Amino acid sequence: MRRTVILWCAAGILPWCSAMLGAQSTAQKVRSAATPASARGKSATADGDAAAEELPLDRKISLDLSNVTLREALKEIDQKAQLGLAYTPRIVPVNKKVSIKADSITAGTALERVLEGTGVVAVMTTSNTVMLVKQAGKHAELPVSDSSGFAYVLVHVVDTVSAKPMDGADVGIRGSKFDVKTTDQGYAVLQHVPSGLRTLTVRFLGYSPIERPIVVPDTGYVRIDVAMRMGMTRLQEVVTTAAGQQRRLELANDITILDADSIVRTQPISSVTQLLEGRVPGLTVEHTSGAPGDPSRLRLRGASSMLKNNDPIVIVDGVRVYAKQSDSTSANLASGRGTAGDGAGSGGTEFTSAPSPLDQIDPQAIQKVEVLKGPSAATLYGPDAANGVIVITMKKGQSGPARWNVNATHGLSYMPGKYPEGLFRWGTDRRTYLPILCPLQAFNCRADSVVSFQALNNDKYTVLHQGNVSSMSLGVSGGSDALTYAVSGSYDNEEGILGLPEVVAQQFETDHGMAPESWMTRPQQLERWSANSRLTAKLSPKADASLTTMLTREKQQRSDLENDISDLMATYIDAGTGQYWRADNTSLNRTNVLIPDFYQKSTDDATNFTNAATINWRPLSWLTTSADAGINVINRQDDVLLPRGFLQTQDSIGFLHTASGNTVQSTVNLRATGTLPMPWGFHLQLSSGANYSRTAESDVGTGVSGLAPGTTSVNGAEQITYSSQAVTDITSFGWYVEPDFVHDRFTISTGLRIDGSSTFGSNVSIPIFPKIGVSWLISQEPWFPIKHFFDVLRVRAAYGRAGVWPGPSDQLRLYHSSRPFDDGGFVDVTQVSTIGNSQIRPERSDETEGGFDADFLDSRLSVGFSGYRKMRYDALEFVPVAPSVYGGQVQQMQNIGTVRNTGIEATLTAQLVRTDPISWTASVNVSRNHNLVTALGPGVRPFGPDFQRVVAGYPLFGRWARPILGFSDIDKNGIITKNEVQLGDSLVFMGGSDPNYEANLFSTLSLFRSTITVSGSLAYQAGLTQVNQTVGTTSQVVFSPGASDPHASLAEQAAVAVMNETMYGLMQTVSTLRLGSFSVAYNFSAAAAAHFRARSLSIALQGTNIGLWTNYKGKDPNVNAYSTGNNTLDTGVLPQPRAWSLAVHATY
Amino acid sequence: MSILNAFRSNTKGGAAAVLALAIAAGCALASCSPENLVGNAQLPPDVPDPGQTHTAAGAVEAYRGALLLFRSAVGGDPNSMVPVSGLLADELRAGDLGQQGNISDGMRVDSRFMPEYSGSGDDIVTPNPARVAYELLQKARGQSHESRGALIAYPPAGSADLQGHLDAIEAYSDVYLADLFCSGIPLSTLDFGKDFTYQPGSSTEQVYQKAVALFDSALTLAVDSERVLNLARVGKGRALLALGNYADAATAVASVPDEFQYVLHYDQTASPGPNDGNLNRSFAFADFDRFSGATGIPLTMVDRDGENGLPFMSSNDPRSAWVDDGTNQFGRPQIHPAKYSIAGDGPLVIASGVEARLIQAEAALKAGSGSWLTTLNTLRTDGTYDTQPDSVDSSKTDTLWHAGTGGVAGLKPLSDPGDANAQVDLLFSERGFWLFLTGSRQGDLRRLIRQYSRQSNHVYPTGTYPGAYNTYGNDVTAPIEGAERISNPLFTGCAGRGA
Repeated sequence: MRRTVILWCAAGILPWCSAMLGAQSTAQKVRSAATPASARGKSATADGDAAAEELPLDRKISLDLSNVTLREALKEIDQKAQLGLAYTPRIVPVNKKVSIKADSITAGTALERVLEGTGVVAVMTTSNTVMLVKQAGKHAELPVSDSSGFAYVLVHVVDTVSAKPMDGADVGIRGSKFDVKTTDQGYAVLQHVPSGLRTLTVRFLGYSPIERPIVVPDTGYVRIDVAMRMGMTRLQEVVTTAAGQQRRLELANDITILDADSIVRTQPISSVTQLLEGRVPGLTVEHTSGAPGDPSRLRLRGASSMLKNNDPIVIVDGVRVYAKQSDSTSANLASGRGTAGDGAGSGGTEFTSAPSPLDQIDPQAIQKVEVLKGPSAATLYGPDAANGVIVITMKKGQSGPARWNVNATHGLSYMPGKYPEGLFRWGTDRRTYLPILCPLQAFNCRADSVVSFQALNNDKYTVLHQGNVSSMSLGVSGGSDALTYAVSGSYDNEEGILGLPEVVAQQFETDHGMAPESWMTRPQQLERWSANSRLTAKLSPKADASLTTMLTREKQQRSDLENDISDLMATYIDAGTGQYWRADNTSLNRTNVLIPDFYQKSTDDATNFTNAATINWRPLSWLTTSADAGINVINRQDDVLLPRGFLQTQDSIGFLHTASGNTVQSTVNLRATGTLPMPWGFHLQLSSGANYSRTAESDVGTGVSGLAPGTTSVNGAEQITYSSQAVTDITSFGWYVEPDFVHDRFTISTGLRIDGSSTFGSNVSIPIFPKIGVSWLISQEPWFPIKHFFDVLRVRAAYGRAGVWPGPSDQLRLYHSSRPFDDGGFVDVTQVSTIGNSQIRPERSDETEGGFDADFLDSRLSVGFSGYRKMRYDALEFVPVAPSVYGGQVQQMQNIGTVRNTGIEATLTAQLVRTDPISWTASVNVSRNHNLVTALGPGVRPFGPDFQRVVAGYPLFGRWARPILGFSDIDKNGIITKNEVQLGDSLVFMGGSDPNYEANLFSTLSLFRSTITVSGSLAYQAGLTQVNQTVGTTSQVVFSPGASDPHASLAEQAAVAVMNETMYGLMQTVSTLRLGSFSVAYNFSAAAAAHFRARSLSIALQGTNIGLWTNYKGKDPNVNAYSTGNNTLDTGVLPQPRAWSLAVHATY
Repeated sequence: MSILNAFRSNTKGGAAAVLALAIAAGCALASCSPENLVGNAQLPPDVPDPGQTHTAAGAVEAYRGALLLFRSAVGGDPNSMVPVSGLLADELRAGDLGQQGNISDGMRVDSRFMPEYSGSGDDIVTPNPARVAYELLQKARGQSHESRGALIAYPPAGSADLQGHLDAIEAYSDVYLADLFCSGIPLSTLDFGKDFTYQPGSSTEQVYQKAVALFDSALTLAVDSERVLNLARVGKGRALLALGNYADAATAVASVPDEFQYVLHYDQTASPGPNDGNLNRSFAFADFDRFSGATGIPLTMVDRDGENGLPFMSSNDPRSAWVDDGTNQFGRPQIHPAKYSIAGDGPLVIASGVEARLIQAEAALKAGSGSWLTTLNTLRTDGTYDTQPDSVDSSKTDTLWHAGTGGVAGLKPLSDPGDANAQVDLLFSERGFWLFLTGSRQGDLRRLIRQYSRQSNHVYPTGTYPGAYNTYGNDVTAPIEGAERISNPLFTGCAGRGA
């Protein structure tokens, strides 16, 4: 960067003359001037003071020098401007050749030009002469005898862009102990500074540091005006905490902040989950399936709770919203109810999941998302904060005219790649001589050929088709100083990739005399409307208020066709006869039905409404108070329908299961923050607040069967098969105090939260959640030895505790009612159902975290590193109660388990290229988590299914299986059968159900001054052990060579032979590298945009799930069979499809 | 100076003042007790609001719940007290004998081979019938505790009688536990309004003593219910008898009328609840169904079980009349007692005037009074009879003795065998027949060992066992299941497996 020197001196009107040097570009000249003693304390404008008399360096001269020595050039300038120039050849390269040709330029400018690149600058002395000195370095040389006197140095610091005063900037004199902070008006006074040439230093976190030579007069004071330019450091970001807004610098935790507005504008983002995925180190996203709207579970720094949910809580503009991702409401409310079936043996409803409430928040309306990953950061957030907190801030309007933005996206989706071919071993039945399929282990047939086939890869028979996705959003923001607004609306419509094969549709029409319904042919539909607004009003100079309103209506449709994918994978279609053969364990059976069940329709209609109001009041200069109040209401109407007569196999009477649910989440927060000075440069920032939170859930469900022909409603149904109702109501109240001791480079943050909840046992003392953290801006310390290397280096350490609340009825003694027959009649009786626990208390998580944040190379490189150790104590578990209390099989929920998560997280953000036409940025985050159940508590034995087991000394929800110890072809027939395989008696640990390692890379390349922007992301995972049931226990033996391949090894055969006894052969620890997203955007020039009457206009080609490289033998390891609870399993459920879309973004 | 002014004028003092103010406000708001913060924690479907139970009406329903569990524990479950104790004693036999290699849990009880859980391996050692019987009886106790607490806290009309009734059935549960299981039975408590309290094992004697105390309480409380009073009287007599206190036992039952019966009613009428199943049937439905059996293994009556058993079948005694059902699914003879319908219907008498008289007879015998035989005979017949031709051989004449106070016709008067041991044998035989398959025989056999110095192998079935073990074992009690040792820190196992 060019550095020049401009010098003014108002010697003629001042009792003394001062000089100063500005260290900024020529385009950013900053004038400063001395002020008369009589005007001390008043701010003087540079222009006004400098205009009083022409200064020597302002004298205009003309020059025409070509290839002369610097000595000659200086002489020429000195003579023409009458500067009285003084310098020493010791620091001035007088023999350097220079050229200058200019008319009517100032002497100062002339000197600037000829001295460029020499490291020498011109300064004006108190005697109105001009002197050449070495430019500011580590040890500025003093050209004149020093310290003949002392003066005050008044420094005024403003922001370059806003010109607003900067509060808290560090001002000092290099090599001295002078070090003060600017006031809220941007002033700092250095007292008794020795006269002479000094180097003024000004630093402010987030801004490029300034070092400037100044000449301190022998007496009086000198005023220096400094304008600072914002740098890139993340530490200056403002974070929303439970106690209010704080600078990240003052927080001792690593908090991920996502600028959602910019991400959504440039990346293919359609949900909050998509926004978070990969961008938050330590966050693991467990997808349930690739169906449109299907929910995902979020796990921050690993799972810790064995029985309770591990979902982070979500706060929107200060109020909590319902966002459970593992709750029973994550499923379609109607699909989870009743097993009555349709009365014709269909087996009841298929289980489907429902969209996550988190993803009903419109990402287009979000300004930023902050993710607090663990208890050390989330202590003050209260209920369930131990799982982490996601704080969402909605977009806020800026004062000014209305600004419109429009987004439109349209694209397609499809399942990438091919499914693995199945091996079908043909033969003839030994008894009937009919052709049948003949696995290796089947002895009733004589094999004659092995053919490969995959219906999902066959255009005629596959259910995988092309889906489409469309979205539009419109937003407007603006307002006045008194009232600002941001209003937006969006519409999303997605059709999933599943579709009924034409051949099946024709068969249906033949069987039923009508074409299949639309939900059968294209079952996966998702439609979502969203309207959002945020109003902010300035009530008075000391008070403001904001009101956020969000409304989303969403309709998801599914069918049980997606449950047929695994069956179809194992089906062979004889092209000649049209006959279907389906694998069934180690045999293959002829079937007349290609797809057995696609008649059930599941729908979830949800309305999600949130109102959040915040009032801020600053009654005193040192006191800020605020209050939040809000409500989040989710209403759902879920149905599962099987119309009468649709089952092919029999005359089905049909059924309808219908359920409606309401969830109301209420929040009230009160908080106050006072700031006051303390000794030794500290000030105390004391916050205190109280929270009220209530979660009320209720749903009712009814199942009817015997639907009237042609009807799809409860009316006219012949029988009510079940009805049910569920209600939970949890009230929590908390209070906290957070005294922070803030120094300019050092913050000690402490806090304490006290909570009470209706879910706690009646005999439990109120739990206390403390926290303490230290943040130290070590690079700003005077003694820090390598300041030149770091722009910023901050080290931090934090400890905190948070909890996860028990369930609403865990403390209660519950009763079971019945009406037994006794003495000739029925009598009402109640008996104890669960004995409850009056001592039950929240699960407690203690987390210790430490790390650093550093910016290098003029903030081109930012690095963050964190290590954490998170202990979940008092984990709730069911503990068997001795039968002497209330008989057998009685359990009591107790706080006795311990789970540990330890890990590291690192982020690196780099501006690889930062030129005018090209910029290239990349960010990488890496995380490693080690999960361990350290204790189950006395009397508790390992529990859970083999594929998701809880065992002390191993990861939570680990994969376990009976091992195959060996096998032997005892009968020497070359075929391994079950009794020839030796299985271990005990389960062995196979791996964890969440990845140990995750790494994500996001990169953006801007070309031609951001005309073209290319961005993409890569995601790497390792250490996930997945259960590939698609090749296992269902019917997929055709994908195991051991079942059909005559050349299969005995080991492969052994794995197939014991498939029903152990999942050993189905579990696989996998690594994946995924090209998660890719986008190419063209940004029209302003002129071109104006052609469309737009201020800006861009068009982008965007893709998601572009590539997957993995050692996983299934289709995609990142899918789960379960949308509720903590279980994960790949049963062949539809994975994430690939999507491409064209997006247009315009602002007006 | 107000705190706020102090804060304004003195920054250090102000900081402290604000901190103090904040803490004070927090404590005031939190009230330092979660009880003050409890809202409505409502419940999943099918679960009544505990608040509704905590009413007088709820207390009555809870009381009925205790009665229901007691009914189930005594004879409403395939593994309840009556069939399991009958299996261990000489009343019943496992119906799957001869299935070599298939050592069923029923056979392990039947053959008196039930090692106690050692604490080092799998806890599923206790045979299922014994485990379930233990759990059912303990559950009945637990519900009695819960219900009694509710009746005291939310008393309905007649609360004292209901409490007395609960005392009586809890005492009976204790007696059954003491009869069937080893010494060292933990009598933990489910504490109403609180959690629970584990207790260490109590000796057999202590359990009977506790039962006596509960019967006394019942006699104090249930003054308005003659039925409950008589139940308590007979129960107290039974417990005192088990303690060897014969005279007091006789005194306790003296006022019980001959015709008294405390009946548990079983019925095949199912309850209307969707998940209730049929809570109302007796064990007979499952245990004597020759082809199914809820346990999968039917039980059968047995004659002279293991050499020492009573001739329940060959005696053709009307008190142990039987029905031949042919063979069961294991090809074994399937015989069920006529007094219990295999439909699961019918009464099960757990206390009666007959038992009261038997207690008095035993006390008299112990006291050397000749009235013992008179008492027994009075139960059997009024001394009159009819004659009629034999149904098979018309040349012969049958003597049909009229029923005595026991109400069973066809029992001729007994003669005094003279020998003291024979007198005891006769008395216990009478008890065995009168109280056949009512959960008394096991206690009687143990008393013969404990109080009459008999050898266990002279009392319990012994010799060759026609099942997998070939010979009977030596157990006279059932062990307490391992789950108790695992979860109850105060329980360290059986104190003794003897009588």
